[in-house]
Amino acid sequence: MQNNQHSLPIIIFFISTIIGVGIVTLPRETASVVGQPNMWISVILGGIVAFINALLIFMLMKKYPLKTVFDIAPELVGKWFGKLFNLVFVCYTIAISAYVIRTMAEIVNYYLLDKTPKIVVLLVLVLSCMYLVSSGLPNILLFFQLYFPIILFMFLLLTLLSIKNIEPTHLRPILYMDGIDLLKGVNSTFFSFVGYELLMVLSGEHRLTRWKPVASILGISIGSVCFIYVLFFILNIGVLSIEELKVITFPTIEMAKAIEFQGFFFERFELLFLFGWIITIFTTLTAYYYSAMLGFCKTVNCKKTFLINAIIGLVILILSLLPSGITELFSYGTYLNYLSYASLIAIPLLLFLFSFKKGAMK
Amino acid sequence: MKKGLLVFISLQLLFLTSCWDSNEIEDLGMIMGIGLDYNESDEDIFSMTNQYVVPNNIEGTQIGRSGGIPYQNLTLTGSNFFQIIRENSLETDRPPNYTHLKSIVLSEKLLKEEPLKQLISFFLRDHEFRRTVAVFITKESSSDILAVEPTKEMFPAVQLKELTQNHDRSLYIQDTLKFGEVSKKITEGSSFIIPEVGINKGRLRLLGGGIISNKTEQIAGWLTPQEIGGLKWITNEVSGGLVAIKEKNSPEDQAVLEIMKANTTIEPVIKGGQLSVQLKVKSSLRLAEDWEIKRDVFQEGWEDQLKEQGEKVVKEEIEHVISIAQEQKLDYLELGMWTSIKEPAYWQNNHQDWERIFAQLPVTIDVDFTLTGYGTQDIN
Repeated sequence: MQNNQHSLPIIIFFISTIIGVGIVTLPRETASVVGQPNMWISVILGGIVAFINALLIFMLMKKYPLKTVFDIAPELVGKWFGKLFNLVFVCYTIAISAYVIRTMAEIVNYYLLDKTPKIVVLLVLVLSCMYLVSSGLPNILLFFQLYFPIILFMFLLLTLLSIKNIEPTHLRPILYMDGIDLLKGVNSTFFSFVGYELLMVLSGEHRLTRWKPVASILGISIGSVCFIYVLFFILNIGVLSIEELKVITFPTIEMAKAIEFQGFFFERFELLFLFGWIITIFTTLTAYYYSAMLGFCKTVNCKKTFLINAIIGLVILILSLLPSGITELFSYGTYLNYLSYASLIAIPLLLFLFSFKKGAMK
Repeated sequence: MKKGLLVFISLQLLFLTSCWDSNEIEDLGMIMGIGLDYNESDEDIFSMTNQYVVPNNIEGTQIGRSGGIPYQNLTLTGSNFFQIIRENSLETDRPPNYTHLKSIVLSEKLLKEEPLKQLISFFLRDHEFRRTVAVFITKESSSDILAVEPTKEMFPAVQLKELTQNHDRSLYIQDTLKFGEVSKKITEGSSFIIPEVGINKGRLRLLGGGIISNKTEQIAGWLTPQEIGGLKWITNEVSGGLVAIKEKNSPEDQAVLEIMKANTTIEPVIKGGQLSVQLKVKSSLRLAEDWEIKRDVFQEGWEDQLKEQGEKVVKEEIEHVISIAQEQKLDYLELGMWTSIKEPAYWQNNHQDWERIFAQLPVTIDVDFTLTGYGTQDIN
């Protein structure tokens, strides 16, 4: 019973973390790889891969209740290798934070505030995140629950307003498919599901050891994110068409821009949508920021977290200012994917294998 | 004491907030429509007309004075559009803002000289331009079109866009061609029709349409209003209008049918590796105007003759448009799209060769009318 009470905040935590830039940029990335109207199937396949990966992570964490990945790595592979693993994971969380907020800054810069320097936009976000993170995990979970309805409302509103712009012919043919292309698409859709790996961090404060509740938590979170992605893919393809998706930088926002009702009274919905979307970016940043801080702290055995907090914030800020433009930013995205492979698949898998060895030695 | 200070400091936030990018709405030059033209000069080959809103002359607002024209057109020339837009600032104190743009008018000459793709690339890149802006083509100069005094609306640009909203009233009006759709057609590499606008007795009037070729992205020909009607039958866009029948070939004995519902399906058929297309039009109509006084609508079978003749009229219109398109080898009839949807395997292998296939594509047309009524009274 205890577990059930905990599951809703954790589900919300996962959903808020997973949904981020993917919802805005993924349709273009997938369209350029898959390029057929049924490419939303790739999203479902990506979700399945993510779910299997999440179960692997859970199988590892199940063995060590109330411990984070940062605690168990030194135990399993030795102190120095463990610290190395931790650092890779911390680097990954920092890199993903920087990538996410820089993409947000680019979009804000294009569509909302063209004169405000990027550093101001980024600084405001990082500073407020710093404050939230310093108050600890329970408050972060509360914050996520507070804003979750707003995020959902924005998505729902965008869906309802866009439905009339859908042209069914863009979505056809559905049944004719090139399976190899769809599988290639999984490579990019899979990364839009990252966020579930923070299970390795959450497990430090929540007792996530039983199969049933955790599998349902992961299933519901990844499943609902998958549903939202597929919905947005169908909207994007239906409104903009595949060939357009390949050339539009931020398809979902352009889709919001295509909403217009007669007269002057309802235009520029993309601005409203952006306000909702920035919250999802903020929640993603918060989750990764917290993980980075916790991981770094555990690795160097610090007492005072404030200094670490400030350092992490500064590093994220500097990293996010590094790319000179949007093309460079997206090319960093591919490097980020390698880092994701390392921390999502390689580290848990290695630790998992080592956990057997350790057990055998005992 | 400390608490009081905190509250005081927090309250300051209410007064100290501001926005870096704030723009006073009074300082913006809202643009309702733009017109692009081609000049026969060596340097400044483009000219661009911006239709500004003049808020002071809008009747009914607080500061509005009646009598003035609520819009002002500024036509400037230059060698690229961005330069022209920035040059507006040399003549007007309000920088142009395109977020509420309604229509873009392109002149025929411009599309003869420059490919559409390059022309609109600037407008697609800039975030201020919406995907819902209506696009038009004209044989006149586009600055003249934007200078025509509107009849019911305040701005010519708004009137233009509203005109295409009437596409369910007449067979001859094409649905609004939005900027986003133009971009879509270009990226898909298909030919399409831009609604044509002209001036008739000092008023704006929708005419036929200009054909944009997918090969050159330039104007390749024109369709008359009647041909637009035939095109709409093919592309399943008919949602209203009328079919006029000349009975016994004499103009005195006319019968006019009002289209209530219409639906077209395109079915590609492959037989022995050869593609052919079956076009099926289904429509229900109502007798709206009748000059043949002897007809008795209470007698069963009164509609048979009308039905047959109406079907013939529509079939001829459709055949005519298909023959034009096949002659030009430009598929703006969406036959390629339907082939790719319904016969994807065939399309995969043959879409490189579509231009040749399309030009010789056998199309069977099947028009099926249902006459559902004759109105409220039948004088006999």
